[in-house]
Amino acid sequence: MKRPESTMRQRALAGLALALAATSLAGCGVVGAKPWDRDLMARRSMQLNTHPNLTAFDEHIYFSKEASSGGRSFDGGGCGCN
Amino acid sequence: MQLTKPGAISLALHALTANLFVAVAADAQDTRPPSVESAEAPSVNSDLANDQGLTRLDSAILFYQEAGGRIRATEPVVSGVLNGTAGETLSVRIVADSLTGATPNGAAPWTGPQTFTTPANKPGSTTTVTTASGGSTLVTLPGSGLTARQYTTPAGQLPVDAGFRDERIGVDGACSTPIAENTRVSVGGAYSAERDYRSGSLNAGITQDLNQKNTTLSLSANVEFDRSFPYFGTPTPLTEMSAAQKGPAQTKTVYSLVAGVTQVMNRHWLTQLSYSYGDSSGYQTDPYRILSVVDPTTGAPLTYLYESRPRSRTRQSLYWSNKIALGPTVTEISARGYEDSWGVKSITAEISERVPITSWLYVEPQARYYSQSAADFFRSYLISGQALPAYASSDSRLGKFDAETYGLKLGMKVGGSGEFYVLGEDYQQNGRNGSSTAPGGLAILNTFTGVKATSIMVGYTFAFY
Amino acid sequence: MGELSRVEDGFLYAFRAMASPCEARIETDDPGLAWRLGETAEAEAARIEAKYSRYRDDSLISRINRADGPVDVDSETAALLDYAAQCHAISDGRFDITSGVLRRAWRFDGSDRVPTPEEVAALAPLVGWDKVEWRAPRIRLARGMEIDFGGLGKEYAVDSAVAKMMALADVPLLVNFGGDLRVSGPRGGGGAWRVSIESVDVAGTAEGLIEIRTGGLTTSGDARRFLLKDGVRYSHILDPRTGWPVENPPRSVTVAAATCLEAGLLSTLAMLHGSEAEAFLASEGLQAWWMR
Repeated sequence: MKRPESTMRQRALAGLALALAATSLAGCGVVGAKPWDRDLMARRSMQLNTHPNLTAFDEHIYFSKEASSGGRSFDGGGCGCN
Repeated sequence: MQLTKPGAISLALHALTANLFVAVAADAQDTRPPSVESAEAPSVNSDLANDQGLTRLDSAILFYQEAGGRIRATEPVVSGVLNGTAGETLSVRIVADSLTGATPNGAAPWTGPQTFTTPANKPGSTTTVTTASGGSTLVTLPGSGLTARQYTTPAGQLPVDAGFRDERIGVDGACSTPIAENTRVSVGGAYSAERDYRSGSLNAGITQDLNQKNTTLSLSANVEFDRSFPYFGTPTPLTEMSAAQKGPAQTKTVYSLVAGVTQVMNRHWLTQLSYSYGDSSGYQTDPYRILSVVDPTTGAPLTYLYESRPRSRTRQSLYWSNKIALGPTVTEISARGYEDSWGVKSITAEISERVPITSWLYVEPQARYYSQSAADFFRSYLISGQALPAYASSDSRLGKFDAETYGLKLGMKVGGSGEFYVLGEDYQQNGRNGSSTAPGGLAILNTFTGVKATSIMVGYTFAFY
Repeated sequence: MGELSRVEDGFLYAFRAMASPCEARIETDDPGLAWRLGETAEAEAARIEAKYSRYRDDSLISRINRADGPVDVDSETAALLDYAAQCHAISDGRFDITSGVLRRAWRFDGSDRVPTPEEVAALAPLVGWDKVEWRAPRIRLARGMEIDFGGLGKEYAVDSAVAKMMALADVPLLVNFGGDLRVSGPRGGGGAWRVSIESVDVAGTAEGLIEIRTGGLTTSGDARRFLLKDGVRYSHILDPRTGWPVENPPRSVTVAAATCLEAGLLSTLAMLHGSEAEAFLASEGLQAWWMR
């Protein structure tokens, strides 16, 4: 019944490798925007979490109704709702 | 060119300058040429994210209602962020939440009525209470002298405990500060208290900007300590449901880690990839949840056992999020893959599109799809005469299902830094746990207890000096 | 990152850009708005500096100057180059964005090192807008030539910043990048902005202050940048047509005009008229202040 831990570790390493690949791509100057081309990035609407309260509400609902958690931030949840 | 008339040069220059700003404004989306008295309105998109030196308050309330008279929740939240002038931030959030309604108790439906006997929440109480919604009765059991709460589920219906009621109050805070040109650290903590549950956590994180701030690496860790003290004590897993008071309080510890990369891909596209890992150990069973043990031939419930879940759970997920600004709209697309040591695997995909309507209003339709597999120990019921598994739960959260959310957000700019926002969402889980091979009368009943819910969230945020 | 402070009737957002102290005065009670407007000004200054500064190796101007061949430019740059070409034409060649090359011979460090006529003459083939191949969007400079937006970049940045700020909010504001300034209009209640101009003779102004309600204001001068040899003062205002300093320009000229860019060009042109500066200002009917 217990999942082999090695599979989980392999997947974790794959995830990190992907992240590092993205970083090195950026280092080569293939991607990115010059400082004066950051006008769109400066907008509130382009932030990754524009409405933290709404995100927290949604995550609370999904955390208490679904088995999965985490991803965007920590799992856990600090409530007894699961 | 010879310009000799008095004022000729300045007149020509004036015309040329006007032309220049018209030409430049033609391709710079939000430039209003100063020399042209244009009536172009300010854009709802021109709201910038930087709150440096300001305090931002953000308060909101969630109204959540499940169909079929199940859970109803109200959750107000107030948060404040103080931004220093050197990039330091201090944030505090207070959230309360109140839940009432009926929640599935875990027993399978049956073609006849089912009566459940559970310990009274307050031991020793002898008052007999009958409420219209709850339908529970306090009784003193003959012989034992125990006070029990009893409720009956009508034939063919999903057994729910209508006496569910809880309040929670939570506080969390964090502060962060730059420690070098491109490095920022943060620490934070959270505490939350319910009638039968307490949770406290501490976290710390670091972010590092690279490549002219085009890349941000982040790493954060969280440790959470929980204590569960059910109203009538903690039942021993897989023992029979009874009116007797149960065992002592239980604890749980969760360690989690999130590592992420945020990358500006180009002027229009921001992407984020993060990996999270969590390890929970301790009591993770739902103390109020039971399973039916059914007759192998007829499917009729014989007894009810308290559920049982492993004391250890590791989870990991990979989350990929994108924000794309094209023209006046912003598209957000994200995906998540998740798996845990309980055997649950899931995928999540979300998309939303922010569309400005006027200079002060935008709408943002959104959709989410979620699909999960069942935990290894998920059972809709247990069959009498078969060996008891070590773990079993009929919680539909651990079963196989899909879920869809459709929502619509409205945002209204108010004043210079304020926004009033509303989000309405419809959430529906789809699944079917019944099977034609189920014993006897259970074959015609769907044991899936998934949720259909509607949420309305309303909030207002503004910054001040 | 700028600093916001409260001043009479609003806020002052101060920062540094383009090697100068810069500021935005914003008449509002909303500090959040003042921040955003100030940051808009700062971002625009940074954007234009990054794009057009000749001191930055990665600027577009440096790229054009380095390129040994044609360079295709974006539409904003094309509009500015067209503008520079037209200014060259209406000023009879006095305003010329290729004149920076002359600095290789002329170093205005207060010394007496005046270049020889031969040194100056040697640079003549490298100066003159008419020698530039320009057909939007393609520019090609002859080898050794350079262009710079020294005479208009900062002024353009001021106008552009004001435009972007006015697009965000309709509040009275003033933007001042190192002495080149522009106002959005009158102050709240229709009052005038009071501006003190350094190095302008205060006679003829109210309490040493100039009052403006609309448009832009710039000052050109040679307060500290000149050469002195054998009793002759060589101004740093070089006539690109001769390669030599103009004769006897005023110490400084301040001009008010509809935009900062116009004011900047007119004050520069006045200086380029040398001893005829006042006559030029008078014939153009400009609102101007000067000091001999």
